[in-house]
Amino acid sequence: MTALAEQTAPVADDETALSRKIRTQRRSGRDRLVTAGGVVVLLIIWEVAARQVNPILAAPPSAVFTALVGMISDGSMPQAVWESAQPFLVGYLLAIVVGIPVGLLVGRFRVVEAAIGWLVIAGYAMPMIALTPVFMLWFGLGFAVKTAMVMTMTVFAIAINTWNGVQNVPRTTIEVGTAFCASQPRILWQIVIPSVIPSIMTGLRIGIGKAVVGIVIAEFFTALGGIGGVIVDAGHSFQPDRMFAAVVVLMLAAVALTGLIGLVERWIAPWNRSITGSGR
Amino acid sequence: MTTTAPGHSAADARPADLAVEVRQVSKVFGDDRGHRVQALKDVSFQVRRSEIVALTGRSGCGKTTLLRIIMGLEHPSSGTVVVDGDVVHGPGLNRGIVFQNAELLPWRTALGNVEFGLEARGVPKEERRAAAEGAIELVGLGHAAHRRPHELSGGMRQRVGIARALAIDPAVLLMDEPFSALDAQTRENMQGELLEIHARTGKTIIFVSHDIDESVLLADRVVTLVPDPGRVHAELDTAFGRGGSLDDRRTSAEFARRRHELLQLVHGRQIQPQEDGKSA
Ligand SMILES: Nc1ncnc2c1ncn2[C@@H]1O[C@H](COP(=O)(O)OP(=O)(O)OP(=O)(O)O)[C@@H](O)[C@H]1O
Ligand SMILES: [Mg+2]
Repeated sequence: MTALAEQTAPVADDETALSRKIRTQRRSGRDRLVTAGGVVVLLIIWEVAARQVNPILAAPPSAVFTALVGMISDGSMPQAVWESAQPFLVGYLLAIVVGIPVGLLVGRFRVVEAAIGWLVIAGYAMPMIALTPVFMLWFGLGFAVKTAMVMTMTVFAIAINTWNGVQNVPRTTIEVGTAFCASQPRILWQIVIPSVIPSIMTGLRIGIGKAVVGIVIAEFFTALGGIGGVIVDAGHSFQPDRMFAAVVVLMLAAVALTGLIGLVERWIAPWNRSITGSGR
Repeated sequence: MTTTAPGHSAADARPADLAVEVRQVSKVFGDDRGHRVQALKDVSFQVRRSEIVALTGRSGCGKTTLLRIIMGLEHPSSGTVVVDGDVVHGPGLNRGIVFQNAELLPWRTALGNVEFGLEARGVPKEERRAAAEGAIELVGLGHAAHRRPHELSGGMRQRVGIARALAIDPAVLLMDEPFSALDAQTRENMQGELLEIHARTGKTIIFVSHDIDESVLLADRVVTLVPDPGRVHAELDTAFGRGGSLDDRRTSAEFARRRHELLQLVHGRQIQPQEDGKSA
C-alpha cells in the first residue's frame, strides 16, 4: 500500500469542541435568557458605537433594521435571496450527491483511497477562492459559476467527513455483520452507512458554512445579483445600512440552515443524540 | 441432528461425533509498538455433538480469542479448527456467537437486532419476525422489543445478544460470558432456558464463564485455561446428574465436589489426590 493509504483520514477540525457543545447541550430556560441578554448587549454596544462614526462607514442596528424593512417591502431583498438560493441549493445538493459516495468509497476501499484520497485532502485544504477567476473563465458570470463555487467549496468537506466516519466505524460493529454471514453489500448498507450517518451530518453542517462562503465569493467576483451582489453594490455606493442588512440576512439564513440540518439529523439518526453529547 | 446423549467420556468419541475440534491452535498478536503477545499456545480440545463445554480461566488467558477463532472472526497463527468436519476459514452458517459486550447495532430496536442475523440469512419477513419475537420472549424482553440499545440496561442488552444468536438456531452456539451482567434471578432463568433449549435442540454449546458454579452447573465438561501464554491446563468432567432439575444438580454432593476441583484447577493447581480418592 502507499504511504497515503496507511495514514488515517485527517480529522475535520472545523467543528470545534465548543460548537459541538453548543449544539448538543440542552437549552434550559436560563440559558436562553442569557443568550437573549448577550444579543441585546451586543446590539446596544453596536448602536452606541455606530452613532459615533461617519454614517458612510457604519450603520447602527436601528438604521440597518429600517433598511432591511425597506428592502423587503420594495422586493429587492426577496429577489436577491431567491437569486442566491437557487445556485446555493443546486450546488449544495450536487456536493451531497458527489461527496457522500466519494467519502464512502475512499473510506471503504483502500484502492480508491490510494487513488483519490490525496485529491480529497488537497481539495479540502486548498483555499477555493483561488479558483474563482478560472471558474469565471469556464462557467461565465451567471448561475453556473455560482453553482460550481458552492459545489467545490462544499463537496470536500462532506467527502472528508464521510471518509473519516467510515474509518471510525468500530471494527466490532462490522464484525457483527461478518459473524452473522452478511454479504458485503448488506454490511455496507446496514452497518457501515448507518454508523457513518452522524459523521455525514457533521459534514453537511460544516458544508453549509462552506457553501455560504462559496456563494458570497462567487457573487462578489461576478457582482451579478444575489445577496453577495447587494453587499458589493451597497459597499460601493456607501450605504452601510443596506450592506449590513444583507449581511444579517445571510447570517440568519446560515443559522437557519444549520438548525435544519440538526433537525434532519435528529429525525434520521435519533439514537445518536442520546449516546453522544455532554449530558448536562 | 444427532442426539448423542451427553455425558460419556472423551475417549469413546468417534470422529463422527465431534462437533468442534481445536487442533494445536496458537495465536500471536502484534501490538501497536511491535511487541508480540502470545495469546494462545498449542491449544487442543474436542467438543462432541450436543455437548456443553465451559471455558474458564483468569482474565486475559485467551478465552475470547479462542472463541473468536472458533467463530472464524480471527485466524489462528498456527493450528486449525474443524467444525462438523470442515476446517474453519471464516464465519459460517452453522455457528452463532454471543459477544462479550453484546455488540448491538445502536440504530436498531431490540427486535430489529434479533432480526439482523435472520435477514442476513435471507429468511422471509413473516417467518423472521415470528422467530425474532419468539427469541426475544424467550430472554424475557417481550416488553422491551421496540426499545433501542441505549434505552436498555447492560443485562438487557446482553440478553438481546443471546436472543440474536438463538434466533438463527445455529448447530454450534458460542457464548462469551453471556450471563455475566445479569442479576441472580434473571441469570438463573436464563440458565434454565439454555438447558431447556439444549434439551430440545441438541445444540453444541461452548460458553466462556468466570463463574465456577455456573460452569459446573451448566457444562458437561469444563476446559480450564491458564495465561501467559494461554494454554489448556486441564479438563474436568462435570456431566453428572443430567436430566434432573438445576436445583437437584446444585444441591448434589457431586456438584460440591466438582466445584471444589474446578476451583483448584482455575488456580493453576492439580486436583488434590485425596479429593480424587474420596470421589472414587
Ligand atoms: N486484537 C488484539 N491485539 C493484541 N492483543 C490482543 C488482542 N486481542 C487479545 N489480545 C491479548 O490476548 C490475550 C487474551 O485476550 P482475551 O481477550 O482472549 O482474554 P480473555 O480470556 O477473554 O479475558 P477476559 O476474561 O478478561 O475477557 C490478552 O493478553 C490480550 O491482551
Ligand atoms: Mg474475554
